[in-house]
Amino acid sequence: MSTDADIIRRSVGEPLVFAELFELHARAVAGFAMRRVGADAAQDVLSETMLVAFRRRADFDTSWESARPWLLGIASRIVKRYRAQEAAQWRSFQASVAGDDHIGDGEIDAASARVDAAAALRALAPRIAALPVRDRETLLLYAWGDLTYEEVALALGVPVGTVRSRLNRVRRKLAPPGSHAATRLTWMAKEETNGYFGTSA
Amino acid sequence: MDILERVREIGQDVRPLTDAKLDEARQKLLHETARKQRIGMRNPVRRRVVGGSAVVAGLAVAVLVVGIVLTPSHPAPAAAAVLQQTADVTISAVDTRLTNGQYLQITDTSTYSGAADPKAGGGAGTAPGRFSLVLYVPADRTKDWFLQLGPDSRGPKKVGRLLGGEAGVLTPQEHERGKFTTAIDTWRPYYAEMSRDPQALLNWFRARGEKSQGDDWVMSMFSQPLTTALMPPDLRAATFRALALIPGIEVVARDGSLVTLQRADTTHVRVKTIVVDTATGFIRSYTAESRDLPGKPVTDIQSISMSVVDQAPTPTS
Repeated sequence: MSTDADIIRRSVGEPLVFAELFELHARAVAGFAMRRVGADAAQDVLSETMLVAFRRRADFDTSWESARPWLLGIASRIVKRYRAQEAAQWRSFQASVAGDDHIGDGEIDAASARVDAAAALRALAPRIAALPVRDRETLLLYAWGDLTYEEVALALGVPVGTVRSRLNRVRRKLAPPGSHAATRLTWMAKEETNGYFGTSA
Repeated sequence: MDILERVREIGQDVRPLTDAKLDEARQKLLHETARKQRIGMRNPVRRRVVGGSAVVAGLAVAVLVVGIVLTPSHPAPAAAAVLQQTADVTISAVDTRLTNGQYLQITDTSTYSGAADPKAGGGAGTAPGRFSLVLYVPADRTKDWFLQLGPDSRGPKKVGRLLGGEAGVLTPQEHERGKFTTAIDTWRPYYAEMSRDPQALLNWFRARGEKSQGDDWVMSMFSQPLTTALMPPDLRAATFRALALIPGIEVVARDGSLVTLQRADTTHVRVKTIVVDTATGFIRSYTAESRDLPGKPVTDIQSISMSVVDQAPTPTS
């Protein structure tokens, strides 16, 4: 069975072969784009991603078997051009994450847990939207693109340590202010960053 | 729970992109890949080229007929997707409605060029030309059908009464002896028995074809009935799906709903090109190109159009 790397390698000489990559990854890229910019712009993001990928196929690092991180990285850069749609999408998430209106007698604990979870998600949306662009795209490639740290690094063309430090920074920013988690995360991040740079705390 | 895991939950219920929008994106990519492929084909240094360009007459669809040297081992996903989509359209499409006395007029025009004349069975050196025939199918298919040589054809413009209509179709035995209804309705005697399962249908055709021609012959046999509404819709849909199982068919161009698919046989001697209309569920043209004989490749472009007329011509004999 052909890997993505095989397909891309063949498509350099036989462009039509690249269509196989679309069939393999279009839904994943589209799903990522739908969450980032909503239904109206997602198709454009998908089209542009595939066309950019096709034109730059010779640049793909064929030591990677899967092209998904590379494609999602391209999609992530294209999404930056759809700022208005992305902002609208975050507003929509904030509005749509709501509690359960129908609570039965025996379901109060479960329901309040769901309400708490919904409230936590509702509170997260504006904080994610307010993150610096680089941190947000790193976070969303990890969380929505379902990529590993190494794959996010490949997608963004940065060292894996940069991904690690960005995600730690994101953790601190997203944790509720003054919470135990926030304090713990600050220390964890400090230790990890020092370890990465080879220094001691 | 790690806060990053929480982020995964946001937007989980966003609906996926619709198939129609996905297909629009697919079309844009295929258009670009086909364009790039054609540019590459013009450079003979790195790739073998086995064809030229052709224009499908009457359809205003420019189709670049270039043989692609590939060694296919499986159906190309894009081509299979196009054929599956067309099958979905053709099975739900309403066939042209005719009122009593009207006829479905099917015009089959062939333009051929190259070393030999495949229609006339001529030898090498026969001049290029056009050949057309017009089939008149009545609203009531049990009544007489008429066949007329078209204005582009050589010989007398006779109008023939065709086999007493649908009720008088050839028996399978007559069919085996080489008698056909028309080139575009060859398999009529078998419509009832032909499987609606795509793989079984493909096997059925493979068992009847010449082994030396393999799927090249099967693609020809599949393509011609799909140009008209003469085959039952469920069988048309099964045939499109069976076509999607043939290895080596590739998308080479797109122009709106018209998608050009192509297959070269393993020796690259024969190249078949079809233009599929994904909006109506029919094949709009069929091109066969062959390098069997010395000299220029033989190219036979067949275009089929359908219209409704109020009467058929009077038989001349």
